[in-house]
Amino acid sequence: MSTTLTHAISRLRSFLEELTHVADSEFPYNDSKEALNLLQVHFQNRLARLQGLDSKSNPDVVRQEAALALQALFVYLPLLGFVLRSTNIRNSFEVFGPLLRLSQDFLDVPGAPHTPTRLLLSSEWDYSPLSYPEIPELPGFVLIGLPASESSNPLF
Amino acid sequence: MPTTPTLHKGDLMSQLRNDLPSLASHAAVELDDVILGRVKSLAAVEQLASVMSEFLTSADKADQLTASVDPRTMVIVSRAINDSGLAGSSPLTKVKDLQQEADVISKKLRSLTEPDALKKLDHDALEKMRAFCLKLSKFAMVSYRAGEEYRHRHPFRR
Repeated sequence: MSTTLTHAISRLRSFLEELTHVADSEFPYNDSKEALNLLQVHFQNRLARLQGLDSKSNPDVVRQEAALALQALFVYLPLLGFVLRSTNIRNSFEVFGPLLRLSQDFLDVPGAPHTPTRLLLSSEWDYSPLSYPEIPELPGFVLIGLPASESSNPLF
Repeated sequence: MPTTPTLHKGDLMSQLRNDLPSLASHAAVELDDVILGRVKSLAAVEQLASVMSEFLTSADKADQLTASVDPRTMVIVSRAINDSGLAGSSPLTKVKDLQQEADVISKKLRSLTEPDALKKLDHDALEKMRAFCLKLSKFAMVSYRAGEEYRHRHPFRR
């Protein structure tokens, strides 16, 4: 087995261990847990694909699979942090219900075969607005990050 | 070139933008397994065949094409076809030619999933198809740079 493949598998295993560790947290809402489950399934599939390769596999195919696995880690590791922060008690849990209803009113199409809108309410350290337009492995999820630095401000 | 924003086309567009690198690489893995004589599944090959046949479709009028993807994806597919040596004649420069080549590739990919297709395989053709899938995955991965697109940084942010 090539070094590239060994390292890629090792990185994915570490990430999956971290996912399992985060899944042990206490989640105030089910949506965060569902997001974690989806990520777990995605990365387990990716790991199974890498484990299906061996020394006979075409080196270019192995390199590309390893590169995609690494890219996925860069994309989803910050999102794992976002999910973890959604368990933190500094979040304004009282706004979860209204924001979820608002998101569903905006995004859910009545009668259409559509993934129901779910909400990840978490904290961010950014003052500047930012958006996550489309996250392929989290379809139907709305991510809202409130500034953690303002968590002590009751007027916010 | 008119685009019709329907749910199906939107889904395809989204799938292409987000999953094309992964889907094409998965198809390359499956084709590599075929070459090595250890076929496990051809699900990704079949899915890529569907994407290739649907991303540019002829409308009611034969000279009018409907694109389900953005121009960037067309450039990616076109480059992958040219670089893998699958283009029929000269390098692809017209959208119509791209549609025809994509259709041919789609049929070739789909034919692999038919029963008994694996018994009469042309080794060189398979290697070309695998090269195409790899190029498609690489070009799409570099072009979309998904990790950066999720997080639009403010120009004044430190």
